[in-house]
Amino acid sequence: MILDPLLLSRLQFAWVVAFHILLPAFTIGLASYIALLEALNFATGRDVYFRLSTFWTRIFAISFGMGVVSGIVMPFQFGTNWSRFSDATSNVLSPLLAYEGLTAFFLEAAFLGVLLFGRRLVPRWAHLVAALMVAAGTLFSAFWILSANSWMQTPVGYEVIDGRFFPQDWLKIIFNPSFPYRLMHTVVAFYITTGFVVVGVAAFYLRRGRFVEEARSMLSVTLWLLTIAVPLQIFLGDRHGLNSLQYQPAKVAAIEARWDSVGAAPLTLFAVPDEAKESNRYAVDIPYLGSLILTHDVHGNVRGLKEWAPEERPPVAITFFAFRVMVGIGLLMLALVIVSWWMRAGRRLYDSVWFLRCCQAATPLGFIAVLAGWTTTEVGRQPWTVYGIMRTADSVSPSLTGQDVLISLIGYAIVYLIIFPFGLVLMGRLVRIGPLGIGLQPEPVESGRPDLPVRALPSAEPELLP
Amino acid sequence: MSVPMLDFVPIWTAILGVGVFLYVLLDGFDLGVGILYGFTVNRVWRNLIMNSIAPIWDGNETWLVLGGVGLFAAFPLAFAIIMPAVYFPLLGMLLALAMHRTLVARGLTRPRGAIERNDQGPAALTGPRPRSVELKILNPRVGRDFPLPARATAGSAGLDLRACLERPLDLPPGAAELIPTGVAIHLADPGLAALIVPRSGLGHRHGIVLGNLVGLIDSDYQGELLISCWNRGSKLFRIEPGERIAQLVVVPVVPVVFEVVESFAESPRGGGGFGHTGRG
Repeated sequence: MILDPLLLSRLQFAWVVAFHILLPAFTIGLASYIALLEALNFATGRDVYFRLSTFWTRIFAISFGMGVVSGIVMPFQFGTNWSRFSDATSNVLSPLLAYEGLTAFFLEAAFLGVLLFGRRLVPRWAHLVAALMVAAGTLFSAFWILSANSWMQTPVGYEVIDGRFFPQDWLKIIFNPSFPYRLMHTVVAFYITTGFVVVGVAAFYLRRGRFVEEARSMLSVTLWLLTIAVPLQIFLGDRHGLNSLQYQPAKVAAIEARWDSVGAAPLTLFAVPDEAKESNRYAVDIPYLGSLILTHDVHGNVRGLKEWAPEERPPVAITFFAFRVMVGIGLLMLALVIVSWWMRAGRRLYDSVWFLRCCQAATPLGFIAVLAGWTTTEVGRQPWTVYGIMRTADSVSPSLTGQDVLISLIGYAIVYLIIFPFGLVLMGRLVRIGPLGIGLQPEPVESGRPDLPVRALPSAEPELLP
Repeated sequence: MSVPMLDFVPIWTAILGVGVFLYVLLDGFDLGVGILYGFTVNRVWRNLIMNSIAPIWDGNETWLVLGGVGLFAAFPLAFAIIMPAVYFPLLGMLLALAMHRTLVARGLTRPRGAIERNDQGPAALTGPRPRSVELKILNPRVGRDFPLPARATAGSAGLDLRACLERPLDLPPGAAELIPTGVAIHLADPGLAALIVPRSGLGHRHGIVLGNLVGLIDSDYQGELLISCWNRGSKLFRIEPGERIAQLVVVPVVPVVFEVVESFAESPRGGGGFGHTGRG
């Protein structure tokens, strides 16, 4: 078998980006959660928020570090494996990435040190500001990177000169048609992912009777937030789908495994798409529902894959199944949130063993949904890197041999299979140690009082009485 | 256009040069510290080393991103040619960075072994070097649910001892209770002794002092540290599990033997004792 540098480069990109996306999926939500805890502590002065913030900040430090390091790999992928793509698109894409670096990375990096280590060195309000800045930095990062990704999906505001893209209208490029929907859908997905991790950890503590006060706060606050976020996400997903139908109909046709263009399309719950025969096997259809969901009209016309030449269609089976995994998890999450209302009404939120068990089991759901959603949108975009204009096959570095890419892919595979489980173990260890046993003093009085060797004024605090 | 066109090539060359230079300078510091870490066995020093880069490493690494993305932005053709050309060196660098970061993350979490030291960072540099004393954890909650005896600030003399209780304990006025700490220490060196003394805030504000006023731990004592908590105040006091209730101070001891004599060499004070220097 001849090693294909294109296929291997795609596998390598999929591998490094799949691991990378798990971390923003967690840190973007966690940064906001920490900022919320800091704000609650600042406003109410309750110790429990302080302890929770300290606890999650430790976990954030690890996941953020892993996010940074797996993120550094990404822009270099563009150069090493996708040099023709980089050359053609850099005038449009690289400023977006540069803005990410300037607005997000430096902001995060500057305030991260204060957030992690400045608790006793800066006043409380400054620590709160640091938490807010780190949270803002993560959101700016998502803004720019999703803007770049969305432009690749729905390119506008450019002209092509000699095979290179040149920007014409920056506002159109940044706020390209799919961007608002993708940004909201992704950020809410990340919030939900973090939310289920927090709920899972809280359930873990409650079932063991440890850190009960902290765990109750985590469970209660987060389930309220999820009560808003999960239904909102389903709504946003629907809007995003309508947007894709308008701009990337072939992707939607692959998502639905719809081969023929029809009015009143059914919804295919399950099938095994057969790309060679251009049909589905073992299909389970619900009449009219496909058109209703996609066009909000039972007789709405849905375009089928046969409208496109076979070499212009995305891989159908992967897109179809990944989408169903994502939606299935979304519905599971909705079910858990609805059960939580019922539990709360019956005052059993903290005691029901089976409910807490479900919460614990739900911990990884968000990550799986994020991966499935990302797979849907990225595989569904194929065979294009810049949708409809530049093919993936024309993007790869011309100088690469299959052997080169195989070696680097194996390198990334080995290293990521070491560092990611390792990071997970470290975070698991912090969770087992819990909010109190971290070696920090839980008393909030430590903050707001500079821990300096020399005190300028004799202190009247009783702690310092001889 | 009347505005003269700026020549961006030298400007961007300078920006990229600064970016790469700062990366080499700053992350070089991180990486050098990482190498030192490998040669250090003392846990106190290892923690210190790790803490010295912990707040800044992310900022240092961001300059590399600036270098990479800057090249992509300003010189795309060079980016598209150079990056594939240095495919394997770059691969090696990225993989090594990934491993390095993971180890930093490990250092930062202070796994079990590291928490068991009561080091508090920078004071270890300027203050006396901590002495190692054997400590046994008798109750698994110590080190898991709440920390080991530790100094509250880097300059504290005392190590705070925590009540190793399963549930809160109410201490009515006048009552004394023996409270376990869940740990035992063995000083071993006859030149050392440990004193258990009250915490000033608890004693002053809440009247929580020690039943024996001061506890003395001899260097050959190996049993659990128990604290006699006495509420000499007028209000009920609730001791929460893990609460800091007393402090441990390790002091040097001068062993003496008595030499029986008939008379002392005369001192200015002589036999003046109780009340001799005024009221007191």
